[in-house]
Amino acid sequence: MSEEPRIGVFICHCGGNISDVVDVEKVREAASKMPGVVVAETNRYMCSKTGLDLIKDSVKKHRLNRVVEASCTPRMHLTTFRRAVSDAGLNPYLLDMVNIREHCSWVHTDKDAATEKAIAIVRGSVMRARDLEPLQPEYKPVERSVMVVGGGVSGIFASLELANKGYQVYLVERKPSIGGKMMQLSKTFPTLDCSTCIGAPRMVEVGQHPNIKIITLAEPVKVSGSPGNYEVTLRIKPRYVDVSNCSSCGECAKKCPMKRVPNEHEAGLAYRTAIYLPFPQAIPQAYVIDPGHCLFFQKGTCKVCAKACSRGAINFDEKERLETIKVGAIVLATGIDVMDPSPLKEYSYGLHPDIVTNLQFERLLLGGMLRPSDKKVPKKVAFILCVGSRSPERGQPYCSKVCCMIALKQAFLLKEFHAESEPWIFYTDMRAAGKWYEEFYTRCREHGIKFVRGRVAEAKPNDGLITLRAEDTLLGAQIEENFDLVVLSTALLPSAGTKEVGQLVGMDTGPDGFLLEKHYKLEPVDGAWTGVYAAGCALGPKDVRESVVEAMSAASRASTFLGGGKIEVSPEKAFVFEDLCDGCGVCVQPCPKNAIVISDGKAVVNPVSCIGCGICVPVCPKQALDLKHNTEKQLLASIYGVSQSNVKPLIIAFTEKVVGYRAADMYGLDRRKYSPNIVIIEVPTTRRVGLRHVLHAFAAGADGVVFVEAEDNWYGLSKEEGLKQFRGHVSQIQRDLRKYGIDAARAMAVAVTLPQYYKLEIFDTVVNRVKGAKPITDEVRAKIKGVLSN
Amino acid sequence: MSLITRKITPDMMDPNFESTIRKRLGEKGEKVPLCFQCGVCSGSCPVAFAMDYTPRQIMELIKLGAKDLVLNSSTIWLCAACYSCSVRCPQGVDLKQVMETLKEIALEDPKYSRAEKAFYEKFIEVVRKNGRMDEVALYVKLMPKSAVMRNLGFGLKLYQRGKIKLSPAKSSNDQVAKISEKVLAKEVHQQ
Repeated sequence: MSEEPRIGVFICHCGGNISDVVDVEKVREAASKMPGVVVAETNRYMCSKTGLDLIKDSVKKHRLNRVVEASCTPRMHLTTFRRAVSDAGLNPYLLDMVNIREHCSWVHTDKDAATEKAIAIVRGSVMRARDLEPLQPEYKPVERSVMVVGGGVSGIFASLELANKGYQVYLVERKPSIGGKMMQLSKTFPTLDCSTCIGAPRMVEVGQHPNIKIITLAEPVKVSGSPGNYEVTLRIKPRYVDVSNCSSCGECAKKCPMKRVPNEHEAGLAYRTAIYLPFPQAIPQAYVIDPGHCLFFQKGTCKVCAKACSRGAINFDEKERLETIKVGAIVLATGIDVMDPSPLKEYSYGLHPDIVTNLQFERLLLGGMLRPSDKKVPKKVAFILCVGSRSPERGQPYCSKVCCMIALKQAFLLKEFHAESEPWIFYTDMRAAGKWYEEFYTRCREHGIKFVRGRVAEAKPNDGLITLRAEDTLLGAQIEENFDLVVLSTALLPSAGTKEVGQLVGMDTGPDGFLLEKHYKLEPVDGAWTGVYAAGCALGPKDVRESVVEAMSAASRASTFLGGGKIEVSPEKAFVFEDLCDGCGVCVQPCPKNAIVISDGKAVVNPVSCIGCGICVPVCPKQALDLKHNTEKQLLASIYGVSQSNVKPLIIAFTEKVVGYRAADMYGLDRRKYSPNIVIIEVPTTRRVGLRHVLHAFAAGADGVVFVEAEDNWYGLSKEEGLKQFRGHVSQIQRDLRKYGIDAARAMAVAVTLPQYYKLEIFDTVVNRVKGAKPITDEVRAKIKGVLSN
Repeated sequence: MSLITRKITPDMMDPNFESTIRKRLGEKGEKVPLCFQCGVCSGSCPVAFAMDYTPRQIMELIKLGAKDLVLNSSTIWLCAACYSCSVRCPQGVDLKQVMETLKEIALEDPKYSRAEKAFYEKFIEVVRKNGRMDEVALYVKLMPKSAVMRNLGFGLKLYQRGKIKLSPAKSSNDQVAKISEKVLAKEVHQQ
């Protein structure tokens, strides 16, 4: 770099979030004395207009050519500050951010140590900033199509919304028909619209839309590519019926000898045949063979249906197949399952036909409100809430959210259906928060529905009736009462396979099993990967209205992403110093994207395939490879900068930027604490850091290193293989360190996922270990310095 | 039986009561504040009909720190230790163990003097001494002398029909006494 660095350091109070712990003024003073720093400023909120103006004005006034911004995590405001320096006429890549909030003030309590650490990491950033180079982002066209996974109400609305905006939509559904849980419901609260009447027309619209292709009996099994250009492999099960040829006349089902197959659409309360139409409004409107029950697939003979079909639409030779689709974005709308209440023995589910789940009760309401045992209209009906919900020890810890309103609606419909009936609702807390919900609750009380505050202790079959025992907690008295029908409001679970499908697209599941959004409040339908979104019950239990809102949000997010027609590709790519490269080719194999080839005796990096992981850089014996925006010079500058910390012993945590860094952010967000002896340096992957860098760290004064890596974000490698390579990399470094007289315990490894961010507790273990060990002698450090200077 | 109190005033609340119970319960104590008053415990309880406060109400009183109300209640003594509440509690509160702990606290403090408490103490005294239960000894220990005298005639009738014996029923060895010594030693040690 020819021009002399003129660096401005801008330190944010964050309204006290930082300055309550870190002495911001002291940091400013220290920063102003760092080499190359022309000006150091503080502001109450750097991200505010005044803060940003301060940066812009200072750039102009002091002719700054580098900016260091010490504030919150770059995941929050990197774009904001890049735009500010850009506005001031600087290349945005000449800005460097230091995280003194999530990685400092929020995780430390000792104010002096936190301030010292803040000074050290600001110094690391200032040193790095000196070596920053201007870069230009590149652009790549995106695929104008979206895959929506799950054909329930969320998937339907996301598909329609996107298709109407002009995108090609692939609606992938695991079952033979779209429709989802909503199509099984009688009426929807609080307006009591008929569920099918409002849902079925939308299904038809989906079926007829020129921009939507419905792929049923299909699941995604592999996702590769990059945002805007995903390649999805679908596994499609055979339907054995040609959809385009089937007229759904039903002659096949009439002849099918297997008449006693539990009907999924009727929640197991009725039977269907082995060849069946999932339900009358099914889309695609075509029959399907269930090979698990079909006589031909079970015993090898029958095919009666094929003879009955006048159009020859049945094909027993159909095989499972894989199909690949190219999409720019993905929306997960995988929905929910209903918990099986039989493990909760006290409710006797399965022991008496008149003890049903609330989903089964929906089907009873639609079938004339006859109870299963004797097909008579029940008079006294009990609704038991929180069966498996709000029960960390006996089911799910969360509230399933919709059951209170479902019970109210069901009791109301029962009362409407049969005025003599006597619905009782046993509740723990009545949750009717939502537009017109409380009003509906009031209506229910007006209609003579009985409410008992108390969770039912047991339901026992008793001579044709069912006896319930509970405490009326408002009275402090036990009550026992007999009922004709008992409805269990069971917990809603993430649908089977949610975790697996999430993993395909880099979306983690939380402790509750539902998909984790990128930011709970501000990016509520975004996945961690760009171009991946989720909607509806896949994110947590919710009602139809909310699912539709989320579906439209996800569609909007997807179209915002794809609408530009191109995606900015980071210029942070590997490159080759041709004069140093001797074409040995050791870098070719480690590249996870096969982006390096040897051509004319030199390594050549394909910038389109390169993802900037930097794994190739430390591999090169000639140091002929480097990585833009994370160059050797820049990385070493960071290491030497932070190593001058006054908080000793000093442990440098080389932290992978996607998951590891965000995990550390979440640790701070949760206000968990670790020792200020830990200093985080962000790296594209921990394998960007080789032995040489670790030796430099020790030479510079560090007393230990930790590698924080993502547990599964392996650029196409399987989790097992990725972890194996990670562990191998670290143990090789440990072995090599021993040769220099440094104990292996001074280089630790930890792999984290976002939900398991608390695994960073290991930071304190590392600090204690290093504190307990014999200090590294000056001879050892001198020896390392000697080796490095050769 | 004590009456249910309809007004709880500051002087009735001991701010340390809940934490004392939590401490005594060790790890299980962490669940105590999770109670959200759903009432599954009381609904499941086979003895709740006879209690002054239901088990759920005891949990609420613990939360408020109403120590005397809890330790004077019949609930803690009537608990049959059937574990239905502990098994069914959605929040994992071990109610049976809570009741046990409350009994311990009440036994340690002479301030709490319910008949049920005396029964517990005398009962174990007799068993410890004889190695098994002896109704006559328990009756004599438990009841005031005047009551014993008043019922002499009834006792005589029982004796004539062979329902009670005058010589105390004793087990052939002293194993029970040894066990109780061991347990006592442990309890002292723990405190």
